[in-house]
Amino acid sequence: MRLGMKIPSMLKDNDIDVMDVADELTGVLTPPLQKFQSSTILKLILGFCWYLLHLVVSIVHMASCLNQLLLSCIISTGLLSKYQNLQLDNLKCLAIVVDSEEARDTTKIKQLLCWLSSINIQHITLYDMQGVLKKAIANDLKSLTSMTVRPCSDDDAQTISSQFKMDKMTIEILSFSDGKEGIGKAASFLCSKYIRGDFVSCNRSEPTFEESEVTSALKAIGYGGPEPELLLVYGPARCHLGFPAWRLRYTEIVHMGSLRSMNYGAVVKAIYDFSKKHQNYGK
Amino acid sequence: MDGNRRYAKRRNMKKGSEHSAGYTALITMLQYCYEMGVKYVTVYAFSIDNFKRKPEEVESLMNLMKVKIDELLENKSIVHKFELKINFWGNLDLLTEPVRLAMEKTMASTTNNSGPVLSICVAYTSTDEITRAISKTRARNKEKIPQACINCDGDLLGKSINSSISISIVDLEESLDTANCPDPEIVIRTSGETRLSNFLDYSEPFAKSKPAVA
Repeated sequence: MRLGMKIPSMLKDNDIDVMDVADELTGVLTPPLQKFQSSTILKLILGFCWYLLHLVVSIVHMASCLNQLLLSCIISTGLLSKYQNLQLDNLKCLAIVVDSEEARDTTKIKQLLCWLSSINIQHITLYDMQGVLKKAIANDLKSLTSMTVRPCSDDDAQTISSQFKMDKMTIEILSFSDGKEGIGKAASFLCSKYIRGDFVSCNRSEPTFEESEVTSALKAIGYGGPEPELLLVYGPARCHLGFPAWRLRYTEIVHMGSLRSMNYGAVVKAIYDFSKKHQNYGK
Repeated sequence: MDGNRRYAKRRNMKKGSEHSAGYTALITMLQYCYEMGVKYVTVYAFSIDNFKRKPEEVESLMNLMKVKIDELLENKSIVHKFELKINFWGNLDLLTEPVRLAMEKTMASTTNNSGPVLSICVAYTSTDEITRAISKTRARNKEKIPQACINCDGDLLGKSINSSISISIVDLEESLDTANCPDPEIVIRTSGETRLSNFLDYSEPFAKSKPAVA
């Protein structure tokens, strides 16, 4: 493609030679120039498409959040009858995982417990990684409820889990020490028990444990407990933050967002959605 | 990897082809991951709970696994393209011998590869992994205890036995299948379900989980 130039019809020979050279130069330089212009335009178009895609995704996400919020508000008002009579046959234990920073807001935690009590949840397991709930909530609950402390209570009261009975609801409070540390202690318990047993019988067979033995060991040392069917996560990230792995096998995990923005309708919806779930358990 | 049967049902696919389709999708995803620079990918291929399925489906899955594992060692496969190191995690003794041998061969032939790491969980559950780790730790600790024995009359010979063993979390984690890989940062479940189903429960306290519809 030649650069736009109109050549007058009446030219002398010298002028035509010059024009030939100019044309040749133009022919040599044009392809790289064209390529440069094409690639720049292509980059601009691709960049525009990328930002457009981001914008579309952000709008869809915002619309989805607004929809969820609106639905939660409507559920809270009690206008939707299907959310009023929740089927709790499959929900024996509900777990709440809270980010430790947000767990310091004990007012919100107590409000959440009241909501769950009104929905007739029978067993609640509260968890935060750093044990903030054990320190902050446990003392308040002690005065309101009858407290039972699990065996092996030679540990500091702030680090062991505690169970509280509130009317028909049992509240259990856990922290990171009930997770990996609990499994470590169960391992020590099992190994100690069977090492002694091996020497007494001169048994030299290859030592292997069964999962049921680990479960029994956890219960024996006070780290047993029900496996929650549903786990609600309050915090900035959708992760379980070290909730005891042995109790998390088939638990439905729902991220509820920040504790600050929690609302009753969202809790009811999470429980309602859970009641409609079906699990094959591997089959 | 989840949802193969539901995917095939929605698309009226031929029975028996659902898991092959799942494998194809897996290879595509792995390609994307490695091109993006992801260093460690772990996939949940077969749970111990899946042995509860119909015997013909389990057998079909085992046969498919054997065929696809053998394909991985071919020159044009993704393993050679990215120099993958492959691990198989799980209770491999529960598998049929041909499958287990194929897995051991694959692990042995890729052990020195310097590229990304692909860990495939087969006959795996997190609770079984923890249980086996406790057993391995127990075996290691048993060797450290001074030799002593009981004679036929039941009398203790030799030194008195210290029957109290203390196992640290570090000891235990060294015996896990996942010992040589870092904890994952993201967990994706392809069917849209929002539970872990006994997958890496111990190793992913901070992993962001994301349900994705296939």
